This record gives sequence, C-alpha cells and structure tokens, in this order.
Amino acid sequence: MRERPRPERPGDVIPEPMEFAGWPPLGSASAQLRAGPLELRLRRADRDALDSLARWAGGGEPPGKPSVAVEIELTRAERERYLEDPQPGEPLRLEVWPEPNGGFAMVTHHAALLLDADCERGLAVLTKQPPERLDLSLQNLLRVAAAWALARRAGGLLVHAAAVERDGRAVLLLGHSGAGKTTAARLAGAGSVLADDVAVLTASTDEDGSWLVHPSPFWAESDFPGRRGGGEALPVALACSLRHGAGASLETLPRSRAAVVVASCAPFLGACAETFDLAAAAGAFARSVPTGLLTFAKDAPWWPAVADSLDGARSAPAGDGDR
Amino acid sequence: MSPTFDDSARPRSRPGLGEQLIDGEAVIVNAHGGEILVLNECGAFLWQRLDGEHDVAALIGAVQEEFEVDEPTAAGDVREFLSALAERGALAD
Repeated sequence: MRERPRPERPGDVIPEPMEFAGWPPLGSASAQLRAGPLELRLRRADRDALDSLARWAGGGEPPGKPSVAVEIELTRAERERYLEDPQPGEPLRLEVWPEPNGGFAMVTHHAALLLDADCERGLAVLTKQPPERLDLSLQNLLRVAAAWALARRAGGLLVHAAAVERDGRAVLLLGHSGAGKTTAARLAGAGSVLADDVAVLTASTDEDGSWLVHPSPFWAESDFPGRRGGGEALPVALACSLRHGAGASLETLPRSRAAVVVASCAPFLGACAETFDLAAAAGAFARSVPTGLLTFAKDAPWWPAVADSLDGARSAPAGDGDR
Repeated sequence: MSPTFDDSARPRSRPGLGEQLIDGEAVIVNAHGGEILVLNECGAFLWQRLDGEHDVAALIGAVQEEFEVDEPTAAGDVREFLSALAERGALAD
C-alpha cells in the first residue's frame, strides 16, 4: 500500500484559506437538501454535481422552516494531492479531525470538507471523477456535514440505520455496512421506509423525551421499495441492533449497552466527540427508546419478534436512568 | 508496557472524554482511542473518583467499603482497572 501524507492543515487540501465572513449572502444556493430541522444548501455546485444530487436526494420536503441551515460552497478540484483513488483492496479512506480554530475537517479519497465551529458554513472540494464516483462522494460529504450540524446545533444524531414505519411509529434498524439494514428493511413488510442506510434522529420537543426519525435524504438505493420521500417525522418506538441468525428473536439490551450501540453507529462524530458530546446524545436516546438485539434470517419476516416489544413501548413511559 | 500504580499515585480521567451514567453503569466515549467503554457498577464508582485528588490507596479503601471486599481483592481490582483504562488512553498523562 502506498504511503499517503496526512494533511496537517486544511490549507494543504483546500487551495485557499477559509473565509466565512466574506462570502456572498444567502439566497444564491444552487441546490438544497432537507431532513427534519436540517437544510444543507450547496452553492456553486456544477451540473454534474447537481445531477448526481438529484438522483438520490429530493422527494417531498419536510414541513416547517428548517432551524439548522448549513451553507456549503462546493467546488471541483483538479489537484489530487490528497484526494486520489484507493488502491485495489484498500478501504475507503475517511479521516475526521477537529480543527484548532474550533472547526471540523474531513477527507476521503475523493472529497474534503471543512465546516466552521458553528457548523453554519462550509467549504467542500470534490475531485474530478466519473459520475458514478461523484454520486458516492457527494453523498458521503453531505452525510458528514449533516452529522456535524445536527449534533452541534440540534443535539441530533445521524446514525447508520434503516427505519421502517408501522402504524405511525418507527423501528430503527441499527448497524454498520453488512449488518443487514437493507435486507431487514425489505423484510419488514407493510409500511413505509424512512431510511435504508442512514437515519436522521432528533429529540422531540415534547417533555416525554421521545426521539423522532425523519425521512432520510441519504439513500443507498434511491428506488427502495416503500421509500418515504418526505413528510412528518415519526416517533422511534424501538431500536434494534442487527445480527444474522436462524429465525427471528429480540433480546432486550441494558440501556448502557444501548447507548454504546447508538454511539458506535454515529459515524463522523467520534473524532470530534468532545465537541459534539456524543455520549450525552447517545445516553439520552438510550434512556428514552427501548433497544434490543434483533436476530433475523435473510429470508424470513422478523416483525412478529418485535411486536410484543412495540406493544410494551406504547404503554411504558420512558425511564429516568441517572444522568 | 502497562503503567503501574503505587498507593500514592493520583490517577485522573482524561479531560474531554464523553461520559454518561446509565443505570449505575458508565458509558465513556473516548475519541482519542476511538473506543466506547462500558464500565460496570464498580468501574463507574471508581471512574467518578479519578479526579487527581484521590490516591490509589484511597480508591482501594473506597472500594473495600462500598463493595465489602477484602483489601487484597480490592487492591488487585483497582490496579487492574486503572491499567486497563491507561492502555485505552482514558487516563490523563
């Protein structure tokens, strides 16, 4: 494997220093993406990038005015000193670190992103690359921006999870790549699907401490059956960590383990955990949402295994559980 | 090599780690080590005392009193716990 120099300063990646104060006023956005309280506005995106965005994002806009708006200046770069194709067999590079000025930086093979300390404005660079790569790079980049802004400004979480709806409530299927999120979502049967890969979570403003999942703007399969393209968020009635196995069963997890599951499925925050207080968000979620380990087979419905827990969640109040 | 903790050492948790106490257990998000730790009730009890004020002897005494174990058992557990935290980058240098 080649040695790749790690950029010590974002200036190594971004040709010009970031200058948030001097940017043109809002209103010149050339594309936007919304999920719950979050709105990502992209400016100066070129036609390829916009076309790529349109393939997987969009759908109905969520109701209400977004309270977390992030403006990102998107550029394409010829220079590929740090942004280069992975070698065969090399895992996709993704490095995240906090900046000395309070901001946040992320670099993958094909993209770099900087956000200011308040997660209100950012600068992104995509390499010149084939359209199929552009789609992936752009989505990864915007996922990171969404995760940071949600955590920083709304106490929310972007988690690796599918989310399926039944009777006005949602079941969250948590897991990293290969855990079976897509498969489990397909096996859920009737009901819409709010996310197939990445779910947007926020704490409800109600005093009951409940959490909401919003129709996701990020999809692994843009034409996922039952995809819910927009609309109201749903309360999360149950969260499941996924495990392949024979048959279907649900094992309740202690709330401390539930917090670990949620925190470990919140990508891009770990390296900046001090700023985002990932532990607090994961703890709040675990105290409120019943969480279990769902064993499921790839060819059998798992819904009956969680039905009892869902009925229990409907009647049981959220617990206190320390702090 | 694991650090050793004599009775006069005053261990302190690494500043900035995310922590939550849930049902008596502690969940520690360690951005530096890239780990998320769950400490059981005894571990959470000790974690709350890793403030640079309590020395190891005091920690051992506190565990003896709280969990009703003999001194050799408490001493062994406390030192093993501290070593494990140090290896995971969860203690201040």
